[in-house]
Amino acid sequence: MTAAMEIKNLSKNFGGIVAVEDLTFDIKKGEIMGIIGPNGAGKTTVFNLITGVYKPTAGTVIFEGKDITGQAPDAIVRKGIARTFQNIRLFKHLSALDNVITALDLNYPMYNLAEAIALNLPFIPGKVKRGEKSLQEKAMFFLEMVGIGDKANIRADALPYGLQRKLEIARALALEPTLLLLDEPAAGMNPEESMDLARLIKQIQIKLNLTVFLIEHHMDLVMELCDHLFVVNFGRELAEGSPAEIQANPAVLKAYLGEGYKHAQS
Amino acid sequence: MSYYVQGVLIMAMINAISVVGLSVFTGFTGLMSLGHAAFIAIGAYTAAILTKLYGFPFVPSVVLAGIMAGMVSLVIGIPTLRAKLRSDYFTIATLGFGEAMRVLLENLPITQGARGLPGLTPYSTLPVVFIFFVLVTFVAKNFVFSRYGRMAIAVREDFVAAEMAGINLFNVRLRSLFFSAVCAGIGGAFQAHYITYIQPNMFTNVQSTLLTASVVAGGMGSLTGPIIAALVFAAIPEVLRVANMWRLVAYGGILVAIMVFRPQGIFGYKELTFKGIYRGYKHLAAKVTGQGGAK
Amino acid sequence: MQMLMQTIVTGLAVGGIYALMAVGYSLIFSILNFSNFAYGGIIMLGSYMGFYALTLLHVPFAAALALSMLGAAALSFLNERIAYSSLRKRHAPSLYFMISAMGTSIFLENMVYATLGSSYNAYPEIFGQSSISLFGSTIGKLDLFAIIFSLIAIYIMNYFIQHTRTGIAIRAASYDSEVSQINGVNLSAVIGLVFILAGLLAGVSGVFLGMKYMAYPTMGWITNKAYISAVIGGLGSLPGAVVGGLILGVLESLVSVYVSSLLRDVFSFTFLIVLLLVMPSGLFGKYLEEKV
Repeated sequence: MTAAMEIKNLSKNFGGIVAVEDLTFDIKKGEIMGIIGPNGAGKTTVFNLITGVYKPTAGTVIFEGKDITGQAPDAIVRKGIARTFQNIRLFKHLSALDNVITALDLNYPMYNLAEAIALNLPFIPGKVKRGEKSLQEKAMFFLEMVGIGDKANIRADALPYGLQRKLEIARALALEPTLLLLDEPAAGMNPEESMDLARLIKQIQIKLNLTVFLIEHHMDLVMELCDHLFVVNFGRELAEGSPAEIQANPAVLKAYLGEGYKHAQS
Repeated sequence: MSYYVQGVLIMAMINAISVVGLSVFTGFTGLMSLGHAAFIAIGAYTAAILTKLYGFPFVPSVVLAGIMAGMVSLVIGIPTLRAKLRSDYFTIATLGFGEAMRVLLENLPITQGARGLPGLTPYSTLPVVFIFFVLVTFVAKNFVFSRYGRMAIAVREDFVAAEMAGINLFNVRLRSLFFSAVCAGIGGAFQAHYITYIQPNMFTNVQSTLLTASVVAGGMGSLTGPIIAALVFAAIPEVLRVANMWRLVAYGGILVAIMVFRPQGIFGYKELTFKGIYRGYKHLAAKVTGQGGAK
Repeated sequence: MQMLMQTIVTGLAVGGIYALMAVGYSLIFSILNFSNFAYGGIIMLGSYMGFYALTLLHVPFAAALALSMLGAAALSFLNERIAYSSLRKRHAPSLYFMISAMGTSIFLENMVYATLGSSYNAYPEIFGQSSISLFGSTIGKLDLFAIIFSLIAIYIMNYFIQHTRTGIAIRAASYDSEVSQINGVNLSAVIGLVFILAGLLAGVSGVFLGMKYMAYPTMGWITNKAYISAVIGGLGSLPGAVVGGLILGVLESLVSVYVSSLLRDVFSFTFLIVLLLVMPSGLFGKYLEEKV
């Protein structure tokens, strides 16, 4: 299997504080890889570095063979990387449908500025109206894929918390990425809901032929879903391997899983 | 229509032209400008110089005034928006730009300094102003209800998420700034040829704030709200015939009150549509008849 | 050389007042993270209070200064409670704070304009026109007193913030208001206090500005220079505000003398924009990116 993404010696300092130090790992094409670690270990910082929200202090990020280190977020998205956020970041005043359409626009610009402002006359069908209609149909496809097709016209901030997370996933999928980053997709869900979500993620991954990289604290979900795990602690690599290897790794057990995991299993 | 009413209407629509533009910028992109009076000034001076000193016809002068203001907005917009300044730093930068521009107008030979340009021809008649007002509103509406408007709203709601949806913040913000500056320039051109004289001190940051006040009072993320606010703001003091300074006292108080009590403005994130009016009317009617029955 | 020295001294005299205003402005910026455009209005009212204390009440200068400081402090406190506190509790974006601040500023300015008129009110002569010579340059007694008093006021303010319990609470709140609140800081009280302190400085600035340039409704405009000073020093940094004020005063003075006095303000505002672009954190500031 070839690597979808290669992270080499990635570091990030904020002022004098080291958030991430010298991380090196690969994400293989077509796998679901998880990054785990205690709170504040630097997991979200890794996401922010990959997606260009922060510029790395050192190191490189290579995506599908090309160096994307330090590029602007929108440029990175164009290359085929999409993400969700730990603290949900939807466009609150837009409907669920429009949230997805906003992302679809990247690959499906239906009309240009001149057509938008000059040619969209009231009551007369035209390119703009046709374009909008076809975007709506495409957006419904992604809403239905995550199971919220019936909520299309509800304003994003009026959706219940769990559905907001799903809408974020739908919005990310609408960018038609090859690598999908999920930042705590099951946060705030009970064990049952999070296992449902795991099935959904797996389903989508197969259907759209995605590589998935996710941060998660629900260990049952992580162990169920991930092919490969990377463990960070205090910004540094602690371990890497298959879920079974990680579960058996004493350093990991000591630093992180420990009692919590045994408890979750029982 | 009496001469007086016509005057109020013209001023109100001129005001609304600038406000429509600013609402696309502030209401739909989420950045606040305290320098838009400078764009009005640029439009006013460009048109005034063209008609008065070069004998240019009026309507092309208005268009050129808009383009000129738009060009200048790129000069300030490209560096500040590319630097992705924090939004409050951006506002301070626009304040600085507005003040610098005003002082410049006070000192350039072609603008005749603080004396300004008197004796302009009153070309801003009701039909011309009305046509431009409709045109500008039409373009703004189409812009806002298109993919470009959707991108702008996304940037306003959450610029990080917007970037991660593949939106280029710089393009979106600059596009809105340019449009708002063109509108301000057109508004300025009309203002100059309605009042028939211009002076640098007509374009202070108080004027910029009043424009923002209309957008905020009308409702961020709405076009009809700010337009109504702009019309009302221009018309009410005329009707009440209060002195200008008391009007400003009231504006200041209203701004604070809106922020404290109703920050989304009167029509926050909503548009006033005929359908909406009809629904509201039916709702009201049902209430009235319902109460009548209870008696 | 003689002329250069004189230009610098003149610049420092103006810069002292800029510094005073910039410290008050920066103090508020550091804790609420927004640009308080109403500060100019408070300074203007402070100036009027000083003027009326001297001309109507005929009190001694020190009493007039104290009155204007107290009055401005009260106004500043009210300004926060009326225009900002509910926004703060709602966690409103800084855009809303700035709009509310502009509203306050327009309200105050035009209120004075409408009730007291637009005339320029000259303060009675306190220091006379006399000047003293210093290192071969002359400096007006008023300017010398203003700069010395400004620096003392700033020093006391800084001592208070660095070395008292309340000061530590203020610094904690400006660092992270949420966390400081969890740790038992009464945020509302601290913010109220910050506005009072800023108001005291506004009173001093108002009186000195009034003595130097007279008191009039739109004099708050000069606080634009306080913003620029604060940006030079780094928004939110108090030592930065002082240094920024002095630097701006001297630069303006140099531009007036050696380039063109007409272009002085164009220079200042252009300088502000350039500075924001190339050095948003100024000399001493921490430039915080908007939270991600």
